[in-house]
Amino acid sequence: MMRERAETGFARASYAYGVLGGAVRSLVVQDQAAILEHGLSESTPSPGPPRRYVVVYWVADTLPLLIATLRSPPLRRFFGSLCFLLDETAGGRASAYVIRRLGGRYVLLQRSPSPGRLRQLREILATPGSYAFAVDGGGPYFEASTGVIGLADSIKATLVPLAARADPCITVPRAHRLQVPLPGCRVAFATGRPIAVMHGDDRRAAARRLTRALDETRQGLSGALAGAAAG
Amino acid sequence: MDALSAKVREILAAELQAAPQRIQASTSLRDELSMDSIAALNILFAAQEAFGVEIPEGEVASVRTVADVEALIRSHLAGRPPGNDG
Repeated sequence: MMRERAETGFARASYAYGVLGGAVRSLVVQDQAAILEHGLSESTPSPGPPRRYVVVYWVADTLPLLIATLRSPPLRRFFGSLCFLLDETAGGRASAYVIRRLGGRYVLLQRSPSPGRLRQLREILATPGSYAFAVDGGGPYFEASTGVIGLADSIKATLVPLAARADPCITVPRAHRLQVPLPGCRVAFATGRPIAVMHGDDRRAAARRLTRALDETRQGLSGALAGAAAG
Repeated sequence: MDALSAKVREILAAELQAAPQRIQASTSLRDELSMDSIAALNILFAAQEAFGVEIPEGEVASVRTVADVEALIRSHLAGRPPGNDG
């Protein structure tokens, strides 16, 4: 009970902080994937199954992403088109609270290994739709696993890397290096170039490519933040 | 090694992208072959298709080794769940 209250309190504080982060000084959005203006287009011009996407980011970028979403209607529409996959951890439950408040969708996945988790994943594989999640949730941090490649392969989805940075921010001195944006910060958000996953691809190599893509997308934000500071 | 074992190991090698020589009866699926939940599901689907059996997720979640997978499929082919010796 105490733990639940602490988690709910943390979630509410995160959401309130995000709302107050509307005192964000500026927001810069780079859309290399060209998907924000029109949202994720799951329809195809020819007969066939709708396109699916798996949108991924580092855990460290979660709070700047939240603030960017609160500040930007196009980002809210974009994230509203996705279902977030969250782990049933304190962080996952806090994220679920925020997503719920924003009117978004999510699945809180039971811990692995469990029959419940497999049932949830089976449902995900079978249900049309696109998903978003922190690809390094639970660690190892800043490394994409072959699991995300397997998911994209299984549902024939395209991977879209995302990144967000805030300046100034406090970086939590833990392995996840969670960014905590400070009031009056500048925020930069970017989508990276989409990555197609072909059935039969070497998954370890594909996971390394995704890791590089996420890092490059993130590194590209430094220039955007510097530009916002100068402007 | 019989035909069932050979087929199981073929499925595991394909889904886990592991060299066949790494797949032995005692090989740990998670620790040595990095099997995650998505891979476990895909192995389940492949096994169901290959052997024509329905395997509940609950039984898949509890397998640890290659031998466990083989035993699970054998028991379903024989028409009874594992551990139930009647």
